[in-house]
Amino acid sequence: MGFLAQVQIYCFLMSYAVSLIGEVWLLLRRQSPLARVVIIAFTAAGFLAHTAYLVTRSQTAGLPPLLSSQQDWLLVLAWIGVLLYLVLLVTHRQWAHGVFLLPAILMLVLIAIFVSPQATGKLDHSAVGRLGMFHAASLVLGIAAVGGAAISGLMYLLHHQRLRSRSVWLQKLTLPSLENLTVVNRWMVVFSVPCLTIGLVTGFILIFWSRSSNSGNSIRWTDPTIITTLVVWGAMILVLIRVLAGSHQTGKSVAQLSLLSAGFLLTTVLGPLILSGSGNLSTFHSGSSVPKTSHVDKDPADADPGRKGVPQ
Amino acid sequence: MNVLVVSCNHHKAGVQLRERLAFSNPEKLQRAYRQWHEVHPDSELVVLSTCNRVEIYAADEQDNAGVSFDDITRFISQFHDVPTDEFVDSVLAQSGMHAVSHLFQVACSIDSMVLGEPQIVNQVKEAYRIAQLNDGCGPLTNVLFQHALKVSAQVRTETGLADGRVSIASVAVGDFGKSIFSRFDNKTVLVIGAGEMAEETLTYLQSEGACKIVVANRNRDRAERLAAKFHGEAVDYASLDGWLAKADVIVSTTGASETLISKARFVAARARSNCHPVFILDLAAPRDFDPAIATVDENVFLYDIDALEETCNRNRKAREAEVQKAMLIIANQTQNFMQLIYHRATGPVIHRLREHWHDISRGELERLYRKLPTLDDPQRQAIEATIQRIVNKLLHPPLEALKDEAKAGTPDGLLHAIRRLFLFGEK
Repeated sequence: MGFLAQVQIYCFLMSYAVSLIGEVWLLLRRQSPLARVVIIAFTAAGFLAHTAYLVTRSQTAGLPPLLSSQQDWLLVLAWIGVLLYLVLLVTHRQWAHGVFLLPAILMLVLIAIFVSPQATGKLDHSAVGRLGMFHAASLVLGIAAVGGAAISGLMYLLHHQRLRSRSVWLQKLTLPSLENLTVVNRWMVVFSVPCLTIGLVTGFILIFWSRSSNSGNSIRWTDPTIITTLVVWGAMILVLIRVLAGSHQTGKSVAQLSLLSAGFLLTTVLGPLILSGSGNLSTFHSGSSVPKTSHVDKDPADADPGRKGVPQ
Repeated sequence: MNVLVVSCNHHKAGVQLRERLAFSNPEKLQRAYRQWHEVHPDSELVVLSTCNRVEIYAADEQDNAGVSFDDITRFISQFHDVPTDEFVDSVLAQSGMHAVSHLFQVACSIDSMVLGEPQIVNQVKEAYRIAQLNDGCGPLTNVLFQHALKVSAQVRTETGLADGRVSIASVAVGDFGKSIFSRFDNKTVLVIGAGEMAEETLTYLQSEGACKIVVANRNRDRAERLAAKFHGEAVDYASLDGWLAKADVIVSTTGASETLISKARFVAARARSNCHPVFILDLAAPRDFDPAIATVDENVFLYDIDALEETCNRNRKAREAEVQKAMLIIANQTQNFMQLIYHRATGPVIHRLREHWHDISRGELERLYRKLPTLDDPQRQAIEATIQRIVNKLLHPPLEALKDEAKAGTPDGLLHAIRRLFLFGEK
């Protein structure tokens, strides 16, 4: 296990970057078996390093990755994306998923470098700990679904543009049919809403618990993470209403709304994460407002070797 | 080695001549092989007959014996009862390396009317199979055709020669239709008109799973004939607007001189639908659908023949860009094949030479053992190994020289010299 501890964020970040270069190369020159081998090899290597990193972090923090820190759950989100990408790479290799998924994965990993690796508040009670896990898992799945809806929406819009205007520059982009993209887009929207709702409800229960137990680890109702998640949830509810109620709505309009929701997600959830990581915003989820009960008091740079040298 | 090909193909001969020279059914082919063997029992033959080409490949293991171009053209003339003068200027005759390269180009579909089309490799396979069934193949044609099929696979794997579709109907369904819909078995296909293009497009749609096909045509009989062919339904031409609202795929190929579906008519029909995606293929000239229909809503995907032709041309150009790569592979493989064949030609002489020298050494050893009966087994083995090494070392220079000479062609001069020098004039 010793060498696993040496894995840094930059290891898998670079692997995914090489895979993205390979995907772009494939897009420009379709016949390149070597590029395909490079993509699979680097993505698989990155995925292994990514998994090892999360396992090591989880062992160091003594908590599952979803509960240990904001950085870790961002990396879990990216990990889910890589897993999906690897599956699609094997099952639907003719499609250019990589040029959409890999930038999103790289963005998540890059943001993870800048957010706080400090552990969030400790949930002492085992039942509450399980609820906390459920809360984090629901939110991560909900946010992953919003991301999935946005990516499938973007693919839909580009494919739609290609088919309607016959843009030459889009000709090389091999994508699933509009019918498939519509189905994926709508299911992602439908799936994201209950996940976000469950995440929020369990979050509120945790707030009540923290306030009533007077543990000194209480969460504010005005915590920026809570407010921003509520905004995304509201946006997704609107999209869902549009999907379910609009009898004449087109795949294009749903795709546009999905992209809009992802914009919300970027500015309202990931933005505060970065701000809290740089110390400009105080939030329970970044561990910055955690009082003395927090079990991790060490220097963030010590906790995460990948953060060494990154300007704070 | 002697390989000949006489080819009557779309480059040099019109369809009428090709039809006259075609071996259009298995019975004809069987008869052709029988007749050929009656006249040329020792030569190998493979007949490749498709709609675009009639090619006869003949081969002999001997260089200066066997069949000639005249024999092949005479055979074609007699078999089809077509005077030689009527086709001799429209055929291509090639031999040796050029004939081999020609077959490789045919199998890789570089010589096809539609560059990179996939059917030809199956036709070559089938021609080879029929030749085997009729005892047309021999050692040379077996190796030649097996090699041709390998080269074809290599070209398809390593180049983009077969990428992209190049016929209008295949582009329409394969490139555009499948980009919009993931499946066709739950789609309603409306065909307006009953032309050839509609039939071709329906063939592709049906192969993709389309099963609900509706045909509307002014001439009801033609509509019913087309519908029956694709297990569809012929509908009243007056009900066209209703079907315009219901259909997911619309293929229009009428010969109307004016626009058949105006924007206003389409908008009215569309108002009765739930604005589901509709894929319209306007394959008529002049166009049946007003081009402004494309802007009615975001789920209308209208393509006319120009848009499809544009994609066909783009795919064709992309394939043409791959021809150089394919030709390089073919040139290398032709070279490899020729070396293999030339080397094979030296095989019998090499074998005979080895046998001859080893026979001599064995004879001399037996004489030695008779003179020295006291030799024990280890001593005999040591002597035999020494003699073996001497023979092999003496054989090495002539065999290497043969191998080198075989790279450029059958080393007839050297083979003759070896026969004269070592095998005492054996043939």
